[in-house]
Amino acid sequence: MSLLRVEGLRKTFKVKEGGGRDRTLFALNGVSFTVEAGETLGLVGESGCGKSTTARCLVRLLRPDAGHIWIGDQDIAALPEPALRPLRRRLQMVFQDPSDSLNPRLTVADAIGEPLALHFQLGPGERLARIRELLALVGLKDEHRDRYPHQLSIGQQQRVGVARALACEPELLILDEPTSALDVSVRGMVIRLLEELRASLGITYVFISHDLSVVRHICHRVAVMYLGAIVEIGPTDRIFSSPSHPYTEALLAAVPVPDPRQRRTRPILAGEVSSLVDLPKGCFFFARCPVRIDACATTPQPLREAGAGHEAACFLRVPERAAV
Amino acid sequence: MRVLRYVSKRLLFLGPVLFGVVTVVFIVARMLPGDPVHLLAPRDADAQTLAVIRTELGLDKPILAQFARYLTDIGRGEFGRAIHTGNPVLVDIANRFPATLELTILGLSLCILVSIPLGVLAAVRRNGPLDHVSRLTSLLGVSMPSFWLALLLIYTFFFHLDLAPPPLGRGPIGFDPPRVTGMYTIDTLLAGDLAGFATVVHYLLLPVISLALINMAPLTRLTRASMIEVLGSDYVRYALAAGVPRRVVQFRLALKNALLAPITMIGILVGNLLGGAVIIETIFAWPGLGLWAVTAATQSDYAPVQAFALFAATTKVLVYLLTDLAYFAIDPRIRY
Amino acid sequence: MRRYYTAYLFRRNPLSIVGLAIVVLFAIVAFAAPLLITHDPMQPISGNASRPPSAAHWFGTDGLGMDIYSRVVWAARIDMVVAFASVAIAILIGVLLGALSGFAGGMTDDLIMRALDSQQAFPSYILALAIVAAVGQSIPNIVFVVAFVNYPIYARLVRAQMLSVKESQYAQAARVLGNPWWRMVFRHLVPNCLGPIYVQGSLNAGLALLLAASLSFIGLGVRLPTPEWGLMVSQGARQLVFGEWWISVFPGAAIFLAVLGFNLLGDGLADIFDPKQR
Repeated sequence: MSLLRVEGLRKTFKVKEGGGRDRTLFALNGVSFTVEAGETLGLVGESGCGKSTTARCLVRLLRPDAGHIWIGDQDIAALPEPALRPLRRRLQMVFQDPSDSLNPRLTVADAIGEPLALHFQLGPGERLARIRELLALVGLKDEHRDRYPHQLSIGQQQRVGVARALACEPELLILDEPTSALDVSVRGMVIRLLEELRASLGITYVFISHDLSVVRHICHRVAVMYLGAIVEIGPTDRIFSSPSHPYTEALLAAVPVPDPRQRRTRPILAGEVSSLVDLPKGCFFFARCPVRIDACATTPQPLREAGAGHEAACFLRVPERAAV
Repeated sequence: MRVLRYVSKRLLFLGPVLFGVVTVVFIVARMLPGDPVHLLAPRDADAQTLAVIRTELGLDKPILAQFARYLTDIGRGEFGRAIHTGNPVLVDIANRFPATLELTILGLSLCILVSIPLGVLAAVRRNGPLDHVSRLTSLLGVSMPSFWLALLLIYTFFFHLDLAPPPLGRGPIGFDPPRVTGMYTIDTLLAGDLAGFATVVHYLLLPVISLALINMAPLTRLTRASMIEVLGSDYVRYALAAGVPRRVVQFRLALKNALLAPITMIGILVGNLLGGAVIIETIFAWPGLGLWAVTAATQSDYAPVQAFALFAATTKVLVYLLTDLAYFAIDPRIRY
Repeated sequence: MRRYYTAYLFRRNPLSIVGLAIVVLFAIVAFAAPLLITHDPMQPISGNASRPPSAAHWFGTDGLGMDIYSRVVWAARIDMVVAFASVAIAILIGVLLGALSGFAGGMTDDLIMRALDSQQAFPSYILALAIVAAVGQSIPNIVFVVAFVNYPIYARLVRAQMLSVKESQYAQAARVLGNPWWRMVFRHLVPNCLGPIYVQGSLNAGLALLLAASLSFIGLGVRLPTPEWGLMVSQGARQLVFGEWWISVFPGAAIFLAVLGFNLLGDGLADIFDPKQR
C-alpha cells in the first residue's frame, strides 16, 4: 500500500470582484497521485498552478472541497480538527520563508520542543536529549538551543524549521519551496541536508519547487501541474529526457542553459495562462499550446499512460492504446 | 449618482450605530449595580412611591420589554424630567444648548484660526524658532489638564491683570438680552445693543480661549506633520525644479493638499467638543448643557445625564459622517 | 535589540528618557510617600486654613487647613495606582476581546466591532461621567470606568495585529504541528500581537490619569478627605479668584508633570516601534 494516496482533490476559493460580486476560483481541479514510502515526489509548475494549494490541503491547512487524502488507511481530507490533531504528527511540512515560519518569541529549544510536548510523553531529561539529538541531526550546535530566530542566519532558521518538523517523527515531509527564499550558497547546503536526512532516516518527501534543476537532482518522480491539475507524472529521468506533454517540454525549455552556444530546440511559450475563474472546457493548456488542433478546445484531457509509471494528459502525444 | 449611492450607504450605516448608542445608554442605566428606580426617582422617595414609579416605568417587566419601552419613549421624544431644574429634559436642552453652541463654535474657530497657520508656518520654516516654540507648546499642551489651564488663565487675567470678568457665567447678574437665538453675541447685535455685545464678548473671552487652547496641540501637530509630508513629496519638488516660485508652491500647491488631514482632525475635535465643554462650563459657571449634566450627575439626577450622553454621541456620529462626506467631496482620489 | 533598548531610546529621542525619569520619579514618590510627607495628609489643622507656602508648609495649606505638600505627595499613590491599574485592566480586556475578534472572524468579529463602534460613539469623557453617575463614585469604580472607556483602543490594535499574525507561516506551522486552538492563540498568536500595546499603554496612562483627575475635579471621582490631585485642584478653584493660587497650582502641576512624563515616554516608544511616524 502506498504511503500517501491522493484522489480527485478539488478546492475552490471565493474571490471578491470589483463590483462586489463573488466569483469562484477553481484552484484544484481533481488532483490525484500516490507517494510510496521512501521516495521523493517532485511537484513542479509555474506560480498559481496549485502546487502550494495542494501542499496546504495535504497538511490540512485547507479543507479540500472534494477528494480523498489517504495516509495509510486513514482518509484525512474531511476530518474535523479534533480528530485530525493526533494524525497531524504523521504529515509534516517545511515552509517556504524560514524567517516567517518560526515564532519570533520562542527559542530554538522551545520551537523544537513543542511537537515533542504535543505528541510524545517525555520527561524533561528525555526531551532535552531529544532536542539535542535533533539539533545535531540538522547540523546545528548545542549552543543554538537558547537562541531566538532573529539571532540565527536564514540557513540556520531553515534547519530549525526542518528539525521542528522531524521532531514529530513524520512518515511524510512536505517541503514547500524550502530553498526559494535562500541565497544560492545556502540553498546547496539545505539540499544536501535534506538528502542526508533521507538517507539516514528513510523519510519520504513531497518536494514542491519551481527550480527544475533541484527537482531533477533530488526527486525520484516528478508531477507537473498546470491550472490546478496534473498534466504529466512519471519517473524523473523519463520526464526530463522524454517529456510527453507539450507543457512539460516548454517548462524544460525555459530552464537556463549555461552554454551560450547551445541552441534551444524546444519551444518557448506564447500566450496567457488561462484564468482559474473561467476554466477552459477542453484541454487546460489549449490557449498556449504550440501543437494544438481544433479538437483540443473541446476535448477534456485525462491522464493517459505513456510508459511504465508515466502518464500525461495529451491525446496527441499519447495515443490511446488498444485495450490490452 | 455615485455621490448619492455613497451618502445613502453611509446613512444606512448610521442606523445600527445609533441603535448601539441607545443600547449602551440603556445598559449603563439599567444593568449596572444599583436599582435604577433610585437613579430615576427623587432621593427621599418612600417605599410606596418607589413601587409606584417602578410600575410606572415598567421596571417590573422583563428586561427586553423594558428596552422596547425605552426605545418607544425615545422615539416619542420622552426623556423624562430633570429633577434639579424641575423641567422636562428636552425643554432644558433647548434652553441651554445655545450657550454651549456659542461657546464651542467660538472656541473651535479660534483654535482653527491659530493652529492651522501655526502648523503651516512651522512646517515651512522647519527647525526655525517658530517651529521649536510650536512644537514645545504642543508637547506641553497635550499634557496639560484642561481645568488647570483654565484656572491659571483666570488667576492671571482676572485676579492679577483684571482684564477678564470673574468666572461666573455669560454676563453680570441680571444680564439677559432679548432671546432670539439664545446665542448672546447674535441676540445683542440683533437688538442693536453694542454695549451688551461688548459685555458678552468680555465674558466669552476666557472660556473661549481655554477651549481653544486645549484643542490646539493636536491640530497644530497634525497640520505641521501633514504639511511637511506634502512639502517633501515628488510633485512639490518637481514644481520647484520647474521654476515655480517657492511661495506659490508652498501656499497654493502644497497647502491645498496638506489641509486634507487636518479636516479629519477637526471632525474629531468637533465630535468630542461636548466632552471638553463639560469641564470649561463647570469652571466658568457657564449655564450650558455640560454644567447642567454635571450638576445632575452629582445629584444622582439620572434622566439629564442619560439624555446628555445620547445627545453627545449622536452629535459625534453625525459630525463624523459629515466629515467623511466633506472629505469625499474634496478629495478626488476617494472612490467608494 | 532588547538589551540595548535604553541606549537606543536615548540616542533616538532624548526626551523619552526625560519622560522615563519623570515616571520613575513619580513611582518612587508614590512608594516612599510615608517617608516624604511632613504632615498627616488627611488631618486638618485648626486655625491653619489657606496659608500660603512657608517653611512649615512648603506648598501652603488648603481651605480645611491640611498640608498641601503632604497631600500632593500622598496623592501620587492614588493617581499613579489609578493610572496603572486602569491601563492594565483596559489592556487585559482589550487584548482578550481584540484577539477573540481577530481570531474568530465572521459573526463574532462583526458583533464585537459593532459594539466597540457604539461605545466609541460617545466622547470618552461623557461616557465616563454617565457611568460613574450610575455606579457611584469609589476608587475601584473609577479605575474600572477609566479602563472601560479606554479598552476599545487596545481591542482594535490587537485585532488588526491578529489579522496579520494569523496569516503568518509560523501560525500555520503551529497548526500543522498539532496545536489545539487555545494553545495557538495564547502561545503563538497573542504574544506576537502585543508590540503596539506597549506604546499605546504608555501614551494611554497619561490620558487615564487626566480622565480620573477630571472626574474628581467635577465632583464625580474620589471624595474628600482622600488626597487626589484633581480633587485638590477643584478645592482651590473657588479660592483662586481671591488670589490663593497655591491650593490649585501645586496639585495641578503634579498632574501636568506626570502626564507629560507618560506622553514623552510613549512618544519615544512610538518612535522606536514605528520610525515612519516621525
